[in-house]
This record gives sequence, C-alpha cells and structure tokens, in this order.
Amino acid sequence: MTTEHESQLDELIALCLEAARLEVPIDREALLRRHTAHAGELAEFLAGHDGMRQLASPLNGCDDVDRLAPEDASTSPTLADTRPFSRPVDTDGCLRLGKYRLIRELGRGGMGVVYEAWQEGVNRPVAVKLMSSGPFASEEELRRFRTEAEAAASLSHPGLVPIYEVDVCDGRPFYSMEFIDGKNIAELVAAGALSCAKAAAIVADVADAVAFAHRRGVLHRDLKPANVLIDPTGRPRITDFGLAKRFEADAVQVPELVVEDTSNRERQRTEHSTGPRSTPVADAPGSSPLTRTGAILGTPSFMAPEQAAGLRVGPAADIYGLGAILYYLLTQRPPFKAATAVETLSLVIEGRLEPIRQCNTEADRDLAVIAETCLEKNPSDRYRTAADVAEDLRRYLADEPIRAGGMSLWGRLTRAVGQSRHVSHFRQWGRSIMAFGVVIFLGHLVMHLIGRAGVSDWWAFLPPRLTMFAVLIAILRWSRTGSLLPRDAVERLVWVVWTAYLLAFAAAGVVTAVTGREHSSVYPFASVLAGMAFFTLGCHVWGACYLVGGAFFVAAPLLALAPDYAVLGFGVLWGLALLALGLRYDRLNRTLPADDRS
Amino acid sequence: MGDEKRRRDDPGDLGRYREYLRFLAEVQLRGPLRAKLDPSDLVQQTMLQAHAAADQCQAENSAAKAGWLRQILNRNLLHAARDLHRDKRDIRKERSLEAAIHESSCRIDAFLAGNDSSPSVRADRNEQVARLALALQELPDAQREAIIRHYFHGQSLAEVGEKIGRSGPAVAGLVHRGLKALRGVLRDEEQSEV
Repeated sequence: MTTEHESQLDELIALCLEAARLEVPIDREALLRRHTAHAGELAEFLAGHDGMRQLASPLNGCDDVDRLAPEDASTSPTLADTRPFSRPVDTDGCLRLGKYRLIRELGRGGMGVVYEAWQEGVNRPVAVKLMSSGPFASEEELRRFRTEAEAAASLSHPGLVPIYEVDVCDGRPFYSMEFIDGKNIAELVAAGALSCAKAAAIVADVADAVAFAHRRGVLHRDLKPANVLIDPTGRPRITDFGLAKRFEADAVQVPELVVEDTSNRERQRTEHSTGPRSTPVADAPGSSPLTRTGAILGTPSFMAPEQAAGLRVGPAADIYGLGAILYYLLTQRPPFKAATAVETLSLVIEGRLEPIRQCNTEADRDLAVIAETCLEKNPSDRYRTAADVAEDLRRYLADEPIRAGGMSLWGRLTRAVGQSRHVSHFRQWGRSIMAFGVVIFLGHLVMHLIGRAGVSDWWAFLPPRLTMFAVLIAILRWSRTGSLLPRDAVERLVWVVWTAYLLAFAAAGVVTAVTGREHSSVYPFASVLAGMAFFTLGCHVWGACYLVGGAFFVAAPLLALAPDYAVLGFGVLWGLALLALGLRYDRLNRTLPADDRS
Repeated sequence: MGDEKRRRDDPGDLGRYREYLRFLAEVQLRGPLRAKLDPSDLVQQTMLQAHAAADQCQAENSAAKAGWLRQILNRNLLHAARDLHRDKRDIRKERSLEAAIHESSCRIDAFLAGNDSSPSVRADRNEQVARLALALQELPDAQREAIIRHYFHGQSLAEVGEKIGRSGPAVAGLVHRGLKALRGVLRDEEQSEV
C-alpha cells in the first residue's frame, strides 16, 4: 500500500470523524461510491467507529469538568474552538458553513483549512477558507481580519482569485472565493518540468497581478508556488491575498521564529480548528508572539531575506517572491532549502543562491538573469516594480534584449566597492582609526627626518618605530577600555590580518637588514603587504578597502623608484587611508540610528 | 463470611478491575485536570482503599463490585480535583466542579448500572467496558491517547493532534489503526446492540 493511498484514507477518515464529532450525518454510501479505492477499509473503519461511538457516547460529554478546572482562563485558549458549529444538518450529509455546503477539503495551511464548497442561493462552486479562530479571540482582531480581507476582496484582476465574501461563523472567520479547478504551480512542477517560455509566461502574468495589487497598496507577502493556481484556461491566478497586508502595517517580526522547532511548524501547519499558533491575517502589534511566529513559519524557503531577517517588508519582498517562483519553475526546487526552518532562514538571509544554470543547464541565460535579479539579497538591487519584472519577461519572450543585463562587470565592481559589512561592529571605531592614521603618519615623518639627517644605521630607526607601536597599542587599549584581544569572530579576522601584516613586515625588515640593504628598501615590500592586508579586509569591512589595497600596490614600485621619499610616502599613504576609513565610520556613527544593526 | 474472606485474600480479584478503573479515570480526567492528575495514581489509591475496605463491600456480583469501585474512584477524583482548587479559594467554582464531577459520574453510572435495563444487560455493559478498557491498554500509547481523547473527551482531531504532537490526518490514522486493533471488542458491541 502506498503512503499516498494511506494518507488519502486518513484524510477521509478525518472527515468522517470530524463530521461525527460535530454530529453531522454523512452520506456513507455516496462516500464509499466516490472513493472505491478505499471502500473496503473505509467500511470496516466505519463499523468500528460506530461500535466505539455506541460505547463512548454515554461516557462522553462532561465538558464542565474542563471548563471549571483551575487554569482554564489562562491555559486553554482553544476552548473557543471546541464548540461545534451551530448549523442545520444538511440533508445530503455535508458540513455546512452559513450558506456554504462544504464538499471536500482541498488543503490546509497555517491560516486554516480550504474547502471546496457550494454556495446556495447563488448556486456556484466556491472555495472556502476557514480560518483558525485562536488568534481572533477579540472583537478587535476579528474586526481587523475583516478589514484586511475586505481590502483584499476589493481587488479585482483576472490574475487574482477573487474573494466573494468575508464572514464569521461561530467566532471563526472565513472567506469564500472563486473555486479554481486546477493545479497550483507546485503540483504543476511536480508533474514535470516546464519549458522556459512557459515558465516566463506564467511568471509574467503573475507579475502583472502583483503589480496591480501593489498599485493599490496591497502586498501579498507570501508568494510561493502553492499560492499560484493555474485555472482551466491556463491562466495563473494568485490566491491567498488574505495574507496581504497594507504597506503601512508593521513589518513582520521574525526573531521569535528562531526558537521554534520543526515539530511546532508541523503542528502549526496542520491544525485547522485550534491553536494560538495558527496564523492570522492580522499579525499586527498587539497580537501574540506566537501568532507572529506562525505567520513566518509558513514557507521560509520562499521568503524574502528582509522578511526572514525581521526587517521592514515592502513591495520588493513580492518581487523576490516572483523570482522565487521563477526559480522554482526553472530548477524544480526553492531558492533555499535546508533540513530545518531555522537553517533555511539563515540560508535565505546569508546563503549564496545556487545559480539557476548550474541546476538546470537547459535554462536560458536571460531568464536566469531575470530570476536572479529578483532574488537579490538587497531589495534595492532587485527590479523596482513588479511591472518591470513583467516587462522584462515579455522582452525575453519576444527575443528582445532584457533590461536586467545581469550585472555588468563594472556593476559588480561598483557594488563590491560600495558594500559594507559588520557596520554595527566597526561604527564606533571612527575616531580611533583617525588617531591611528595621525600617529602612523607622525611616526614615519620622524623616521623620514632621521633619514634626511643622513643616518643610515638600521638601529636608529628602531626607537621611533617602537614608540609608534607603543602609542598605537595605548590608543587601542584606551578605545577598547582596556581589552586588547578580539571579542568575536568579526574582530578576530581584523586582528589576525594585521598581526600577519606586522610579522611579515618584521620578516621583510630582517631580510633587508641581513642582506645589507638600505633601510628605505623595505618600504616597497611593506607597501605590498599593507595592500594585501587592506584588500583582504575589503570583503569583511568595507569595499573601499579594495581601493586602498590597490593604492598600496601601485605605490610599491614608486617607493622603490624614490628611495629618499619612501618612508614619508609610505606614512602619508597610511595616514590618508586611515583618515578616509575613520571619517567614514565616524560619519556613519553619527547618521545611523543607535540601534541600527544592518 | 468465608466467601468474603476469600475475596479479601485474593488480590487478583480486585486486580481484574484495575484497567477498567484506569480507563474510567482517563475518561473523566480531561483538559487541565489531566495535566495535573495522573490516572494511575488515582487508580492506585482506589485499589488500596478498596483492599482496606473489602469487608464493607456488599457486592454480590462483578457488576455490583465494579459499581462499588467506581464510587471510590469518583470520591478520589473529586477530592483530588478539589485539592487542586483549594489554593484558589473560589468556593463557587469548587461547588460547580463538584457538581460537574458528580454529574459525569452519574452519567457513567447510569450507563453502566443501567437503571432501566435488566441485570444481564447491565452485566454485559460492564463487561464490555471492562474488556474495552483492557483492550485499550494493549494499544500503543499514541493510539490509545487518540481514541480516548477523541471519543471519550470529545476533542477534535486538531485538538488531539496539538496535545500529542501530530497532524490532524495523522491522528485520524491513529484512530483508524486503534479501532482496527479493537475490532473484536467492538464487533461484539455492535452485535449486542442489534
């Protein structure tokens, strides 16, 4: 027996059990007829089930004991969910929700369960999403849910699954929407790879719909393959704009997420009628951290990095989502995926994206470039609007050159130079760095003057150099309130780079001394070493360090050509480099808000 | 007199009812009470008291004896629940808790002792519940838990899932396999009802 067969059977049994618990009769013969593959086992189960009900029902139903137990108010937030729906029993044995007759469960997610249903009166098939009621305990939250869902309902676009009605039944909010008889993109991809053109066309249509919603101030925030259905005409339709949130709403809070384990996620994903962890539409201030946690746990694999990092989420997050869908269509896997949600999140935030053409050599370069541009970590490096994405995809489809030319070499270079890392670590170093620059410059100035005075003895240069070191160490101690050792991995790298530089410098000095060369002949080598050290820090501290490193490399032969000014030139270069670095951090420190951690 | 003496000396006699009582305790201990009180502690206490008071047991047959044990269990349950409430000093709540437990045990009594049914039906029911209790103890923990919570505590699959850390359909699977294992007991039940 396949596991799929089993899980289908389990779903059917779940349906029967819930119906029985809510005391809604089910048309068993119809059920058995409809599911012939399971008929035998289902019938056997139902017989056992009846026997158990006979035995159990007289013993059941002493709810009062629950309600009166000591901690009821604080520890059983699910009480509200245990109430059965008060609704008439349908003659054909279906669950009912207001004027909707629920036919079968289509799927469930963090927010609730989606049913295929029949709307009476209007007589049309609909999909009904029944939200978990946990997070909607208060009137205030219910009202917020309504407002948001109604905002989403006001969006009318052929690429969106329209929401018909928002209502509450027995404290459980639900909304009905058009029933789309088709697969979602995840199912589509599972059934087989799509051509590049097909993938581009799908995402272009999705991007149109997203652009439409964005122009009206509504974000989706949870774009992923499972939320895009392909209707019978082949048109992609985005669902779940119920999660959509107005721009001005607060950013999603993620940090709590980190403590969540996967079993929680599993529970959260599957529970449908209960649970404070279930996600609400309204994960706004005032809702519980668990609520907010749930909102995140849905699909970290397709989440934008800024969302995963708990930063402010804007339209760029949906642009990322478009890229993630395109990536999925082209490679049949999400951009980032790890064993646990937490690992996935850290990949989303920091991990390198595996280039599309490494996963799928068939993928067109331009299309890969479009997806990868959408998936840029930094929101400002992505397309500006969803409309731009759609436009570029259509250019690709029409065989025209695309706008996102990938990144030109120059673009990559300027970005690398502009990039800054660990700002929060180094921001307070500005003044110390400038002080280093001044001391180093003065030290070399003294040595230059000694050299100009005609002294060529190696030993004459040692006292000023050692004094310079002593002053530098004193500044370091003072600026770090007494501690000389690195405090963490970020600092350790800086420490080890400069320690290596000093040791190499000393070794070079020894070499020049024992080979009997002039004191000044060590500076071209020192300049090369300094250049290497700065260059290394380019990827760790600030991209401009690459340029500083380059300047030292260029200076090295010049220092060799002008030995009389080598000491002074080297000192000036150091002074300027540290002054520039120090000024920049000093300015950053004054302009950035105190708690900025970017 | 000799009969009574024999009964008291034979611990296996009362031991037969252990699973039965445990089952009833599990059925009655629900929600937050379940988290605070261990059914097997209550059964242990009940058995000890029953042994100590075996002299006073007038029960002629097994159904009556089961009823007597149920009374002791109910009293213990009530006391334990009351103790939990004592700190709160909420008399009104305490009263209603008492009433609730009383009501639930009356309901069980009414079902098992069957005021309106013949002695043979009464014996049958007790027998069935006792057999069910025994059979349930044979099940893997997760299956038993799922069945008791769903059928006897009236919890939804999602609620059960939350408590035991499984998904809704997975709970349905547990119930399904559990019922399969209990098939013999349940089939008899069905036939006796027909």
